[in-house]
Order: sequence, then structure tokens, then C-alpha cells
Amino acid sequence: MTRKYLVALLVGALGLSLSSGLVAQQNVTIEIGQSLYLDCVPPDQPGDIYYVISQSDIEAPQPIDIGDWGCNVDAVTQYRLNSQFTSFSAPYVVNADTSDFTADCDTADDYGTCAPNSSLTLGDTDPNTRRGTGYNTAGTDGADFFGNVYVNMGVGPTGWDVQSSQLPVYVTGIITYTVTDTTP
Amino acid sequence: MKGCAAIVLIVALLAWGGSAQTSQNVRVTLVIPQPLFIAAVIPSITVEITPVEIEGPQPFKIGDWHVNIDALTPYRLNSTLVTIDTNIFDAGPEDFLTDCDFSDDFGVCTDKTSLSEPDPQNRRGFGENTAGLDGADFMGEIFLDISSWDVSTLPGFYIGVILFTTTDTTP
Repeated sequence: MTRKYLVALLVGALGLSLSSGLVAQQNVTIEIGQSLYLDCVPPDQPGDIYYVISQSDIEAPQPIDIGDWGCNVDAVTQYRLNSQFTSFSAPYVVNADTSDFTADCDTADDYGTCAPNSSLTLGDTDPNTRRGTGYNTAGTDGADFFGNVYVNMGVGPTGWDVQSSQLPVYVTGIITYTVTDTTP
Repeated sequence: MKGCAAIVLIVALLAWGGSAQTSQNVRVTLVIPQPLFIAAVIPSITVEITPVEIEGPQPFKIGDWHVNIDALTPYRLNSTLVTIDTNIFDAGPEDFLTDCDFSDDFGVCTDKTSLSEPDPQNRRGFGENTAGLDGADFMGEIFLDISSWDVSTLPGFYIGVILFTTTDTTP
């Protein structure tokens, strides 16, 4: 207790000597360089999706689950989380495009809330591509959002047409996850 | 304020100015190693020829065939008989015929009957993508005409294998 009093007195005396008055000022500057942090490929989350289509996948009800997604958001603002394809390549599969892929959001924590929308279609917009929303996460380990990615390979004449001369055939794409400040 | 210490807090929001946004990419790769799968539902046919078949109209039915196809591409279905062994003179694949009576899940039967000639004579049908379905079922009958056979050693026998093949018909 004695030490605290001494420090207070020293600050007061310094303030008086500098300003020749009775008011002391201490400026505090807090810089927030970034208010949102997104991590969709940490070691404990799904990251990239690599899936091999088997015979049972062809017979299964469409769409089929091809993998999980997970993102962690650290925020000092309210935000929304979106995801959609930003590039896609299926040169040997006629009728395949990004509208065949969908995603859901199953769980969210730390003030995060899942959205019911499922679109991953390239060029589609919010709210169709919205996976969830959230708030300031200070003091928590960040809001974790988890869900699944699905593909529907169609059926009949409008379904996928794989060119057997090019086997194995690859369908590749990049899903971009985005967090956006939603402060009005 | 006199006699008091004033603390001024300056909170700086830099760089994003209230519209902060960040993004991250995740790669998606689907591999399709095989777009066509075929399974024979009826694995074998065994028939003993009796006087009824000899006296009956030729050809006569000796059994059924049934295949199931899972596809991620348009395809055609062919079947061909290959002789494995026989002790019957003049017995061969050309004595056997078939038809296609039923197909589902975007499968379509053809009217061809040959089990010994190339496509399109031995074509049983064709179909499309079956994703989400239990596969296209094709069914039909197999017939035999023994009017040219010359059985000299008893018991006479004919053993053959019917090969069902699917072919990608993507242009």
C-alpha cells in the first residue's frame, strides 16, 4: 500500500511541474489494425476437401456429403460469414458446375449463429451464400462454425456426363470463405 | 476538473474503417476413377434339354438375364456369348438369341437379339446418369435354337459365358 501512494505522488508532482497547473493528462492510444480474423484451415479443422466418388456414392440419395468445413472467427465487431466457389474446373464432366455443390452450417459457438442458406454457386450473392453471423468474441477462443459440403451429380440426360476416355476424372474448385463487418 | 487527473482515450480504427473484411480459400477436389459399374444379378443358367424342347418350336427359352448399371455417363449395354467348351457339332453362339423386356432408371431396351455379332446387333440397351437411383435394371430372356446341332457323344454339353459390357457413349 505504501508503494502505491508513492507512485501516485510522483505522477502528481510531475504533472504539476510540466503544466504549471492542477490538471494532469495521460494519453492512451489503442490501435485496432484488424477487427476480424478468419481461419478455415487450422490444424484442428477440416481444411481442404479431397473426395473419391465410389459406386455407393452414385447409388446414394443425392446430394452426397463430400466433406466438412470449419472456420474460426475472432471478432471485435459483428460480422457475417459467407462461402462460395470462386474458381471451378471440370473439363471432362459435362453438365457439372458449382450449382451442383451446396453447404450447410451445423454448429456455431461463442455468439456465432448458423444461417440456413446453402448456396456455394460461383457468382451468387449474400444472403444465399451466407453460412452464419456473429458478434464480438473477445475473451473467447473465437466463434467456431462447422458444416458439410455436398454434391449432387444429377440424374438422367441432364446429370453429370463423365468422359471415360480421360479417367480418372478430376473436378476441382476453390471455396472462398469471407467474413464481413455488418456494423450498420 | 481542477485538481483531478484526466485520461483521454483515443481508440484508433485503422485500415478497415468499419468495413473490415478478410477471406480464406479452401480447395475442393473430387476424383471420379470409374463412371460405370455393372453387376449380373442372375449369375448362371443351367438347362437340361428334354424331348419337350426338341419337339417344341425353335428357339425356346432357356432362362433370364438381369443386370444392374450405375452410371455417371451415357452408356450402351451389349452382351456377347463366348463358347468355353462343347462336344456338340455345330453348336455355337449363333444358336443363342436374347431380348430385352424391361429397363428402368433412364435405361432403354433395344430390339436387337444377337449374342454373336458386334454392336449394334448385340446391343441390349442404353442409358444415362443414374446418380441417386439404385441403378438401371435391364432384364430379358435367353433363347436357344438347336435345329442345327449334331449330338454324337452323350451326354452332349455346351458351356459358354455371356459377357455383359457397358460402354461410355459420350460423344
